[in-house]
Amino acid sequence: MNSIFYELQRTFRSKFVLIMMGIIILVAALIAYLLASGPASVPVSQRSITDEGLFNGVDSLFGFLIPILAIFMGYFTYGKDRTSGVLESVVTRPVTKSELLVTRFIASIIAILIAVVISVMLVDAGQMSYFRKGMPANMIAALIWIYFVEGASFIGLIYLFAHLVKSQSSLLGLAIALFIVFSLLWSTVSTIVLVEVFHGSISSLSTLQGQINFNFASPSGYGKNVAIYVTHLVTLTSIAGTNIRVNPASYGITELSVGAIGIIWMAVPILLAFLLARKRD
Amino acid sequence: MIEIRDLTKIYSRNSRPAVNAMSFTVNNGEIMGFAGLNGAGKTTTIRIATGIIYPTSGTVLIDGNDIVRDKVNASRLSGWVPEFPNFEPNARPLTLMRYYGGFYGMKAADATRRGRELLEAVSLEESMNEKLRNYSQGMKKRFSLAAAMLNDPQNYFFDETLNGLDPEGIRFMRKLMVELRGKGKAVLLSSHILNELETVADRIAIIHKGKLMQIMDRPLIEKAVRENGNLEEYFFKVVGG
Repeated sequence: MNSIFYELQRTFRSKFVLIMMGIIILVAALIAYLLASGPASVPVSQRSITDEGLFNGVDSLFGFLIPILAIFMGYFTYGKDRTSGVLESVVTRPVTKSELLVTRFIASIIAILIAVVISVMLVDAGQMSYFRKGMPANMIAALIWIYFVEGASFIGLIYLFAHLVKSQSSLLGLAIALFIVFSLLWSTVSTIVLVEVFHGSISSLSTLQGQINFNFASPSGYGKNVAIYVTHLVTLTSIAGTNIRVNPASYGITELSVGAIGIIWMAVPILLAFLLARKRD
Repeated sequence: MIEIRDLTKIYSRNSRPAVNAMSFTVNNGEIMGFAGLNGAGKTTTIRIATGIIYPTSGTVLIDGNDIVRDKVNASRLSGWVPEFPNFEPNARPLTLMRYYGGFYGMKAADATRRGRELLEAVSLEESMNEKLRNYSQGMKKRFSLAAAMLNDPQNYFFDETLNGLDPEGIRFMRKLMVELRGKGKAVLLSSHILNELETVADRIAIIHKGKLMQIMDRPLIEKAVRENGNLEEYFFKVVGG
């Protein structure tokens, strides 16, 4: 038990974890500063900003940043040591492989959570200063949840892949592929598949369910469904930038599905990695 | 005491077991030589015994603690010096000593003091502030030895430790192992260098293709050397080479 607490403490203090946290908070602080140093009088266009607009503004800022930093955090806290063999010199100490994996994972997701909470608060404070209006509490909570789930699942996936590949370069290659597919290209992938399924017609609302299902199948896409749950707005893939108001429950986006799938995304990759650490080798 | 009981490791269904139903004991105050050709299963046995990999079946007991079921206690009682030490290259020796010391419940100051003493003992005092990536293979082995001795464990695993060392390094290691034996420690020393085993080992376990072929005690070692001129000839008779 002592060694678990010790490893937790050490990982949390590691320079890589602190750098990743620092980058997230620094970006948020910069945005908050730019917003806060805007014009003193609020123009009419700024006054008309909606809660959904504020939410989507923050979402678009961090949607790119969190996955890539989580991937690096997973690589530096565990993946690199595991694939390079450095972890062996630690495993021979009075600690088990699964304890090492779990404690490093917990320390990493606590770091992500702290960085996300501070960042969302900072950006909200900046928006408050610029628009004279902040986000409602449920939207702040949703944003924190989205990034926490996204960060934890990407870290868990890197830990899992570290048990499946043999070299650092393979792991880095997989990590980059993971980021490109799940984060950058997911909506393109979903569009291509939906075009195939609906024989070229993806303009109707009937494709929306397919798009939502696809979103649940990616840790980055998952956040889009949480956004739909909170804002009741959806952007159709076929008509970029066109928002329509929907009832999320009609498309299976409920408190239960959002909560359960979030937990699945956080738990399944690290659980599989844990099982491999206990049984394989 | 290190007890290896009916140990088997199968990496792949299509290949022969890397270690096949192996059993032997290393007593306290004894250096057990572990001799075998490349791929005989020496490193696999040691990697299982130190908790790096899992056995397919069988057990390894370190002073009565199962390395799989009671890993934490078993690891607390053993030290490992690998053939190719692999440490975080950007770390400095004392930083790593402090990190490792934490697993034994050592306070940072105590781990630093002990680490410094050990680094001096293995003649690394002048390189104490350098990063490990600047260390030569021999220096890494010395550091690895110091790290293995951090909590003064009762049992030691030396995996091809003498390989790649200069004559001075070999002499140092030989002297150290004899000292450990004098302190009542159990030492398992795997090596290709049969002459070295002949010099320091109390007994020698000869393994071939994962199987334990023979355990030679001191009278048998001496007889084999007397009759064959050296241990090498006898070794090849046993493994059928």
